[in-house]
Amino acid sequence: MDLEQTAVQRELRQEVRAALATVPASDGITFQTRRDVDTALGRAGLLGVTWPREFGGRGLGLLDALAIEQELVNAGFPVTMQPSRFAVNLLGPGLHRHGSDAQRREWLPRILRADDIWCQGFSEPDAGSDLASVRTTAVDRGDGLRLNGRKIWTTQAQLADRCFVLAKTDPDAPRYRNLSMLIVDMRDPGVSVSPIIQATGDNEFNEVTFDDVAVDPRNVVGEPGNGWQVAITTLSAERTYGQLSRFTKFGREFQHLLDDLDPTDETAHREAGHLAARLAGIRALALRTAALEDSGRREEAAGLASILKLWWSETHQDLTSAGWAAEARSDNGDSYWWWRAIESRSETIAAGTSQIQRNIIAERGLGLPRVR
Amino acid sequence: MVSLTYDADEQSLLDEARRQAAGILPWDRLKDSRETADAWAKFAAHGWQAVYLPEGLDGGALSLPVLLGLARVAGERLAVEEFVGNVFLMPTLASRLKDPAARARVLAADPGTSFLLADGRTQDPTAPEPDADCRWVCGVLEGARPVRVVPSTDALTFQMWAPDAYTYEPLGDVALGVGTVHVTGAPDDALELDLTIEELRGLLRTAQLVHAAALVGAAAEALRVSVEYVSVREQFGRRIGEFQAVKHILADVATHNEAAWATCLYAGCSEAPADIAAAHILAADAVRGASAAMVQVHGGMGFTWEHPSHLFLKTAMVGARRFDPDRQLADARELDVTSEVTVAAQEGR
Repeated sequence: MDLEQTAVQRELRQEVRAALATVPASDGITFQTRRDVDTALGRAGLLGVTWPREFGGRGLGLLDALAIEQELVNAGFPVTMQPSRFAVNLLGPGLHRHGSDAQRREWLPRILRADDIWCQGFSEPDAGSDLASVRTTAVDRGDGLRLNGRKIWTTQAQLADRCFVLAKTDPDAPRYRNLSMLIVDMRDPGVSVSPIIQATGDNEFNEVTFDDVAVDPRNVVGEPGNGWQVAITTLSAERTYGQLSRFTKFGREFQHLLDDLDPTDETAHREAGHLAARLAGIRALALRTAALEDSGRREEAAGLASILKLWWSETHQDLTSAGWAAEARSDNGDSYWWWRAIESRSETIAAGTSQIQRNIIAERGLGLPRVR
Repeated sequence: MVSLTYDADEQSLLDEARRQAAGILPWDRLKDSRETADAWAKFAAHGWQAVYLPEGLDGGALSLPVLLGLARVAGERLAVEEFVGNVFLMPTLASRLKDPAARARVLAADPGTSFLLADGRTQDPTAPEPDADCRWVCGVLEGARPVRVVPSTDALTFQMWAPDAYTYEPLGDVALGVGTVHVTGAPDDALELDLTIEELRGLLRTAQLVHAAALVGAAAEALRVSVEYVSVREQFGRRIGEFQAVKHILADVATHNEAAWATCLYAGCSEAPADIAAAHILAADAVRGASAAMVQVHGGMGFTWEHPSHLFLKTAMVGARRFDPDRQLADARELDVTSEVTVAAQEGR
C-alpha cells in the first residue's frame, strides 16, 4: 500500500495545469468558464481518460483519474460541476457498452472534445426513484418515431444541445424490456424547457417537455428495448466519478466550521471531531472504491459506490447543520451556511435517494431478498 | 505496490488465518475465562503471535496494513484485546529491549502472553502507580504476565511480573480481558528499553489503529450473522429480511462498517495521528451500531445469554471506551483536509 503519487499521476497533473493555463481569463467562475475548461481539457486529451483506448480514451484507472480530479478541484473546477460530466461520465460508458459502431463513431469524438452540452432525461414527475416506470413514449405510428412526455430535474437542460432520454418504446413488452435510450436534439421542434426554481432560489434544473418530437431511429442507443441496461450502466458510472472532490470541498467547509465554533463549547468541538472522522471516511471510501475498480473487483466497487453516496450525502448534511448552528453563536456573519444547509438537503435525493441506496446496499451488497 | 486492497498472497494469508481462527476461537469461550486463555494459547501456538516481529527476531515481518487485516480476523472471533496486546504491542515492545539475551528470553516466552499495566481508557503509559489498583487494564488472560513501562530520567524500563504476582477483578460478566489489576511484590525483570517516551506514544497510537481494525472485524461478523438470520427467519409468512425496515438497519450497518474499514486501511498507509483517530472513532461507531442491530434483528433470542449477540455488544461497549475517546475527537479535528490526496495505482504501475 502506498499513498505516494506515481510518475503517471504527476505527469497527468502537470498536463492539467498546462491545459488550465490556456483557459481565457474571466471575472469569477461562470458556466462559460467551465465550458472553456472543458474545451481546454478536451483539446489536451484530458476528458474521458478512463475510457478504453479504442474509444479515444487513455485506458487509465480510476486512481489516475482521481489525480486529475484533485488538480481540477484545487483550481475550482470539480468534475462534478463541469458541463461535460453528463456526456463524458454517464453517456460515454453507456455508448461504449451498448452503442452501435456507427453511434460510437458519431458521438464519442464529439464528447471527448466537449463539442456539445448534454443533459440527462431520466426522471419524470411520476417516475423518480421508480425509474423503470417512465411514461415518456417513443413509438412509431406510421410517421416515424415520435417522442412524447415530460422529464424533470433535468440539470442544464436550458443550455443543452442534446439530451439522452429514457423512453418507453414498446408498451407491450414486460417491465425492464420496454425501454430504449434515445439521443435527442434539444433544438428540434416540440422540445420545450421550463426552469424549476429550487429551494435555494437557484435554477439548476428544469422540466423538459417533448411534444411529438421526431427522433431518427439511428439515435436509439444500441438495440431498441435495452434502454434499462443502458440506464443502469450510466447510473452506476454516476456513482464512481468525481467522488474525491467532495472530500476537498467539504474539507474546506469543515475548516469554516472550526472557525465558527465557540471556543468554550466542548460539545460542539466533540461533534466537529466526529464530523472530521466521517470526512476521513469519505476520502477513504472514494480511494478504496477506485482501488477496487482498478484491480478488477468491479462488483465490490459498485457496492461500495452506493455506500459512499449514502455516506457523503448524510455526512454533508450533518456538517452543514453543525455549521448553521455554530454560526448562530459566532460573530463571523451569517451568510456562509444558509445556502449550503439548504442545498445539502438535495444530496440525499438526487442520483438515487438514500432509501434507494439502502435498498441497493441491502439487496445487491448483502444479498437480502428482493421484493417488488 | 497496491492501494487500499490486498494482493493475492496477502489475501491467502488472511484467509488461512480466518479458517484457523474460526476453529480455535469460538465466541462462547468468552463465557469462561479459562477457556478464553486456552483458546488464545492455541491460536498463538500456530505462530500468529510472532507475525509482526521483524525477520531478524524470527518474526513474520508483516506490513502494518496486513496486520490490520489480521486484526480484523481476530476481531471477528472477538479476540480484540488479546490480539492488540499479544500480537502487536508486547512483541513490539520486547523487540526494543536493549539487552539481546533478555530480548531473546522474553520473546521466547511465546506463546506465553502478557498485558500492559495501564488504564486502557486513557492508555497513558506513564500513569500507573505501583502497589495500587490499576483500573481498566486490557488484554488480561489467565496466566498472563503484567508488564509495566516505567519512565526514568534517561530511558524507559520494561518491568515484567510473574503470572501469579497479581490479583485481577474482571469488568462485567464475561471474559473480555478487561478489569482491575493489582500487582504485588517486585517485578521478576526490570530491563532497559531502547525506546523514547515519544516512540512509546507512537506505538500506542499504532495499537489504537490495530484495535480499530479488530473492532471492524467484530462489526463485520455481527453483520454477517445478522444477515444470515434475517434471510431465514420468517414472520407474517415471509423472511424478515424482505422488510425494508429490517433491510435498512443492516444497510446502515454495512455502510458504517465499510467506511470504518476503508479509513483503517487509509490510516495504515498514512499513519497520521488524525487519520488513526478517525479510524478508531468510525470503528467504535461501527461496532456499536452493528452489535445493537444484531441484538435487535434477532428479537428476543438476541437478548438471551445463550445467543452470542451480547458478547458482541459487550465487546463494542468496552471498545468504545478505549484509547481516550475525547482525545481521539480532538486529534480527528486536526484532519488535514487541505493536503493533496493521491494513491498509487495497482501493481506494476
